[in-house]
Amino acid sequence: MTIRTRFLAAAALAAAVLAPARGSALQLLDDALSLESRPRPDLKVALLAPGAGPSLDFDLLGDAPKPPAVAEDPALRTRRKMLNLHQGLGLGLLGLQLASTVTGQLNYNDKFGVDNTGRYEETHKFLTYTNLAAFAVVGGIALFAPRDKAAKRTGFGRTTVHKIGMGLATAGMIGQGLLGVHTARREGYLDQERYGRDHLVLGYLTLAAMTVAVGAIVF
Amino acid sequence: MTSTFLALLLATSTSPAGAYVVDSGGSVVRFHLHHKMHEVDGRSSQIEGKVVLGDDGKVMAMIRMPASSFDTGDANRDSHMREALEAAKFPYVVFKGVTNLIIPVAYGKPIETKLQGELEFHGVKQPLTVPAEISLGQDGSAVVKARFSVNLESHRIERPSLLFIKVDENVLLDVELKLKGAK
Repeated sequence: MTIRTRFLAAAALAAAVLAPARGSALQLLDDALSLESRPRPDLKVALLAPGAGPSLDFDLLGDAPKPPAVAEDPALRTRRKMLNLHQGLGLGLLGLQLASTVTGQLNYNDKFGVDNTGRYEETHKFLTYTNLAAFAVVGGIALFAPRDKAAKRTGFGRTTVHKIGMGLATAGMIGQGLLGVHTARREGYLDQERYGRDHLVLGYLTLAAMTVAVGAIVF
Repeated sequence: MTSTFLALLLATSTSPAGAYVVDSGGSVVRFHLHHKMHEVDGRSSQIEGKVVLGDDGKVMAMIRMPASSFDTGDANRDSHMREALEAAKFPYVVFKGVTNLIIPVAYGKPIETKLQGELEFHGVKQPLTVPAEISLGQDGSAVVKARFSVNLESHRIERPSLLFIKVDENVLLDVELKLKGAK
């Protein structure tokens, strides 16, 4: 073994200890001890190759054209927040409408049944006023949410069904309010029961319209 | 003699090398998004793109689309989508990719390849490998079909939610591009 070979072997052993990759160090050791003269691998290329991706330094399309008009982000963000709130409160509203209808039915049965104790009257009144106020708030949130300027008019879809349903429910709400007040004013008259029944039917129709409207969005 | 004939034949045959542009009329990018209560499908044909095929078979492709151009058939949902994508701030979705085709290619026969590239979506660049099928026509046209998924979270997109349930983080993209020779 010549001095040069010993030196190379020692250098390779040192590299084996210091190098992080054991495989690379053993490769160096093999290379150093090899009697064959072979060209040294291009270490720079070998080290860069695994991590480097394809060169994407090209632009085939040039500058982008002026982007289409899109509402400013803060306005869209506000719109989204308002509509998310509308969504959450809307579910609560459906529950209130259901509770109002149920207490309305119980109140009707009580008033025009045998007992007429009036025990559901206050609960029904409280729920209906709360329902009416919540309806206005939930509807207002959707109505006053900022518009999306880039929105395209689309055909008949879920949102259209929702809007039609809620439109009918709004008409039902107004009708119920008027009929409710009128029914209360007909106290002592024979036609009070008829008005009460109409009020009740309208309550069910409003509940149905609202269920369809919510269902169109949810399912 | 035979080799001279083959050389002449190769020299006179039409080479697919050249530049191709996306024919937006016949091209479409569809997406599919899953929500626990809904399946959402959208599409856009507002595609701008160019593909350069070199004599050595090297392919460079660049596709650009307005982020606001996707249409799901529901204006309200589209509005939410534009907000989630911050389309005013990041108006374009851009893909750049490269691949190599073995030349000569057989016309009309789909060639399967993988485009190694980068997707810039919501202002965030992420490496992306797109498995694609390329069919070259002898009339200088080409069709590229690709199907792959993109992770919304990796592009820092806040996933939209319905009834407080977020949509899946992966969106499936179905791309069909009709290319014609660039003049």
